[in-house]
This record gives sequence, C-alpha cells and structure tokens, in this order.
Amino acid sequence: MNHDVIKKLEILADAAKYDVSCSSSGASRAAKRGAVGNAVSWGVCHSYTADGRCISLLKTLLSNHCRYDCAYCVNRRGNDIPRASFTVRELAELTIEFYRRNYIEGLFLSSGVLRNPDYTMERLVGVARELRNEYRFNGYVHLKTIPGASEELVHEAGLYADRLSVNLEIPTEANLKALAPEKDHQSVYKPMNYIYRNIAASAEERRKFRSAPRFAPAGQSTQLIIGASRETDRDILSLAASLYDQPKLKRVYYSGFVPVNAYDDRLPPLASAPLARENRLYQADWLMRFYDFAAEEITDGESPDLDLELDPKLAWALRHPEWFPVDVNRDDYHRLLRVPGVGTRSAGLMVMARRRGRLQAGHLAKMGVVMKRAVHFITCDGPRAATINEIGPARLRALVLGGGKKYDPRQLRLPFL
Amino acid sequence: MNLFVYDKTFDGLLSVIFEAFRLKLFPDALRGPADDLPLLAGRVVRVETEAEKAGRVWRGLQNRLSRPALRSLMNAWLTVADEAADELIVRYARRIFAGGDEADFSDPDVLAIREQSQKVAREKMHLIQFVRFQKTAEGIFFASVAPRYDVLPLVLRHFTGRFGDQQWIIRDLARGYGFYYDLTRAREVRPDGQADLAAGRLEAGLPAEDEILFQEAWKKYFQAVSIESRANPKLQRQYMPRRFWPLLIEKQ
Repeated sequence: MNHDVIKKLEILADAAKYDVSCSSSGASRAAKRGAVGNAVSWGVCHSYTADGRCISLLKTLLSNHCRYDCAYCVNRRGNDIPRASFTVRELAELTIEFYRRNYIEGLFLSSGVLRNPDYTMERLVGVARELRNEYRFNGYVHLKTIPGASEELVHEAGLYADRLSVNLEIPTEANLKALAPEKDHQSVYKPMNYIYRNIAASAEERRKFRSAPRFAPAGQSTQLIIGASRETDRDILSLAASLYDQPKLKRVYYSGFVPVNAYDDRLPPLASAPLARENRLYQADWLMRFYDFAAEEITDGESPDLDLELDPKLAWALRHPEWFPVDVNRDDYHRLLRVPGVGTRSAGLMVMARRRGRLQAGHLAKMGVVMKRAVHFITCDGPRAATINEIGPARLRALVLGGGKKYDPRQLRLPFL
Repeated sequence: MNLFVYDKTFDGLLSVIFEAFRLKLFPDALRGPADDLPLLAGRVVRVETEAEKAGRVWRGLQNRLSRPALRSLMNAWLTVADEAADELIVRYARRIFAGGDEADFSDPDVLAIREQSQKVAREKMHLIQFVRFQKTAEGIFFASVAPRYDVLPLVLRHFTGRFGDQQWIIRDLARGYGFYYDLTRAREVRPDGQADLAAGRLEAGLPAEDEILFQEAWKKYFQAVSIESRANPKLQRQYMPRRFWPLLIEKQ
C-alpha cells in the first residue's frame, strides 16, 4: 500500500461513479472458518455519498484505458483525462483491507476495454480469483461482463462472482449504433442469455446436489442510460418489462445521463442530468416489480413519457377513476396496492388488521398510509373525504399538486375540499 | 392514579406485570427507584423484582406470542431509557393476557410495540453499517460506537461471523462498555476488565503501520465517487444521520 495506489484509486473510482448499481443484496453466504466475510441477502450500505447514493461496494474500474469511443462515456478513447490501471494484486489487497475495516460489503469491478474483450475479462476474473482463492474472501463480488468476452471466461466469472452484469446502456439498437459505433445489442444479449442459462442450470443442479457450485447466486442486472438518446419512457419501460419477464434479470438500473462530453453533437443538449425523470422511472420500475403493474398500464396516458409532476401510480390512478374507490375493509391485497399512498407494507398490515375489526381512517394513517393521497381513492368506516369520482380527475390533480401549501391569501378557501 | 415503582430492569418489569394481575390493579405510570414521585401520586405500589414471578410472566408471554412478536417486545424494551416503553409493555402484556391478538394493528399499543421494535432494528442496522475499524499495531481491529439504544449485544453475531479471523474490539462510548473478540468468542469488557489493557493502549493511539494510508484511501474514494452535479446533502443526511458522522472516518 502506498500513495501511488491511492492516486490510482482516485482516478479509477471517479471513472466508475457513473455506473449506478451498487447493491450488495440478493446473495447470502454463510461465514466460513478460516475465511473472511459473509454476504447478507438484504445488502448493507456502509456510507452515503454527497449526492445521497449508497456506498456498499468498492466500485472501481480496473483500468480506464479504453479502445472504444462511445459518445456518452467519460472514458472514451478521445478524451484527454488522467488514465491509470491497477494491478490485480493492488486491487485485491485494497478490497480486503477495506473490507476488514467494515468500509464495504465487497467489490464491484468493471473496466475500460483494453486490447480486446477477452484480455480485459481475463484480468477482471483474475481479481476475483485472487480474492476468493488467495485471500479466502467470502464477501460480495459483482463483476461486469465485457461484451464480446468468451463464454469460458464468463463462466469462470460466474463461479467467483455473486452477481454479473452486462450493460445495455442505450435502450434501442439504432441509437446505440449512432452513439457507440463499435458496439451492438447482440454482444450484450449473447452473454446475458448465456449467464441466464448458467444460473438456471446451476439452480437445477443444486436442487439435486447441495454441493454443486453456485453460479452468480445474486443473479444479473443491467443499466440503461436515460436521456443520452431520444427513447421515450414507454420504450424504456417496455424494454425493462421484457427483461424482467423472461425472467432473466434481477434489476434494471436507470442512470440519468450526466452530460460529460458536451462537445459531441450526437448527444442531446442537456443542462444537467435528468434526475426527476430517473426518479420517476425507478418508481415505475418498483410498480412493475412489487405492485403487479404492467409496463403498458404505467405508460397508457396520452404522452409516451411519465408525468414528472406526479408519481406514476398517482398518475395512473387519475387516468383510471373507474378503479376507485377501493374498499379497504373488503378489497383484496392487489387492489389495495393500486391505491396511491398505500405501499406493500401498509397493504400487508391492513389485510392482517382487518381480520380483527373494521378499519377506519385513523388506523390507516397509523399504519403508514399517506392519507393525503389515499383519502380520495378509498372508502373506510367513519367520516370520509370526497372520492375521485366526485371531485373529478382534473380537479383532484390540481388539488394534490397544490398540496394546500401554496394558496393565494386573497382567495376564498373552501375547507371541504 | 396508580403508580408502580420498580428497579428499571426487564425482570423488574415482568414482576410489575405479575403484581398488577395479582392486585387487579394496573399502573397508570411507572417510576424507577431514584425518580421523584409526583405530589399527588394516588396509590403507590413498590414492586420487588423476583425471578420466580418474572419467570411465570415470561413463560406466559412465550405461550401466547409468536417468536417475532416476542422479539419485538424485547426490542421495544431497549428503548425504555428514552421513551416510556415500560408503560407500553405493561399495557401490551395486559392485552395479550386478556386474549388480545398480537397482530391486531388497529390497536395503538400493538402498533406501538411494533414501531418501537423497528426503531431498535434500525439502530442495530446502523451499527452494522457504520462501525469503522482501525487496525492497531498489535493487529487488533478497534471501533468506537455511540448508538441511541443499547443494541451492541444484538450485532455480535453479525460481526463474529463476518470477521471471524481477526481480533476486534467494539466499544460503546455512550454506555462505557464493549466487546472483545479473541478469535473464539466475543466477551463483554468493562473499563476495569482485563481486555482494557488493550483498549487503554488503543486510546494512546498506536495505529498499524499502513492504517493511516488505508484511511486516506477510503476518504479519497468517498470523495471520488460522489457526483457533484447531483449533490443532495439532505438525502445524504436522511440515510446517514449526522449523529454518526463524528465516528465515521470518511466524514472527518
């Protein structure tokens, strides 16, 4: 350990920060005698950056030298930036020492493409191999798969790593071709399918033999860059739905494009990263994964993009007054989940609690239901507010957006609304 | 108003529940032995802690509650120093012994037990997240913490499992005790205990040779991964409350 390594870490961590995935969840590894570390399935965040993102893993590149020239990437060949590369040993030591101090849950390793994909992949796998075999590291490892790497290397990576990921980056192939001429979707889908088949095969094996090797037990994920090309939210969500559907992927990450290469006129002019849009996409993603929404439902409005002012569930509810009011004392869990302001936790509590007695508005608020939103979409015992069907979607929208905070003091206020 | 005085231990509280049922008289408020009693206390009952009574109440609760509900109850007890969790537990126990349902979340006390328990669970999670070990010249990994509730004993299993091949000490600054893991098991150490020798030397500050380098690397890493154009200090504080910052290396 010396100051050179710290210098490299600064450069390479900085170069890796635009990859948003940092989760360490989904795999559990029991502690082993003589080895360091374990992995807990719920994941642990050890710190939070100044932008409020979780730091769970040591997220870095092995090298930021790259032979590709992708318009959206800060590490593209043509950029004049400081470049550095770790040796396999340096990075393995850094990981293990950070881990022993409880700074991190493990390693998330990616790299710029050096000579060729196989050469790069071999070095990534080398770090994981060293950690697992030399240092007896039993914590979390997430390896990025370099598109175009051979199946043998991807297979070895899967044996060491908890999670593998291949980034789609640009949602449609035509736009990817325009921004990254050296890449295509085929080179992403091929390893994705290969990994998927191996995960399935390993799970099948392990049903028969408990000792069969695990292959990427935390599954695989991918990342889409939002706002670097002109796809609509409808395109993006239906792509994500198809990826969840098969069921190939554990997570799709959406990364609001941070305008890094402003000089490149193939990129849309952006003042800053589209954070609001990114947030709405994650909310929509949650609706698909935990609330039984289909992608088509979320984007069935007039505009193919999500409403930036409203969360996607509320926006959907305003478009579908015929679903409401939902009776919290009778309707099933899945209908409760459709109510804005009701989450999986509060819906579960309601189902449990109503076996013992009728629910009233006061109970719901205590269970964590956001009554400000929910009140117009439900019926329960006790006094009730005007429902969406009585107010009408357009006025209700104005009402929730106004939020009661901004009002003109010269105006007459109507307290019954 | 009925006021019960007990010794502020968990067994003491179980004895209070026992006495309340025996006397058919339920406390409106609980006080510790050192607390001042209100002027118009009404009836005051002083409860002696008795292992047998506490045991009977505990077995009664075990028979009536599921394991998660029992754990919630014990977690809720850990908040007693800050919020009148003891009064809550007495009301809850009364309800459970009267045949009440542990999952009836429309009842304010049942819900409150769950909420207090979740606060403790969150604090426990914060320890797992924010413990920062420093390696000493002797090769022992040392950390200081100051959790809001007394949750250090709840995370021992996590740390012995994860760092089973290194010696470590975690010290609770707020409560003046800690645990020392000697590669076989974690032992409680008080300031006057044996392992304090190690702890004492630690405070004198003899870090391992490259400890400062790794701390510097971690700080640089922390700065390098945040994206300035997305700065959101409010969100950062929401996830990582300020009270933890003094003990976090990356926030020094």
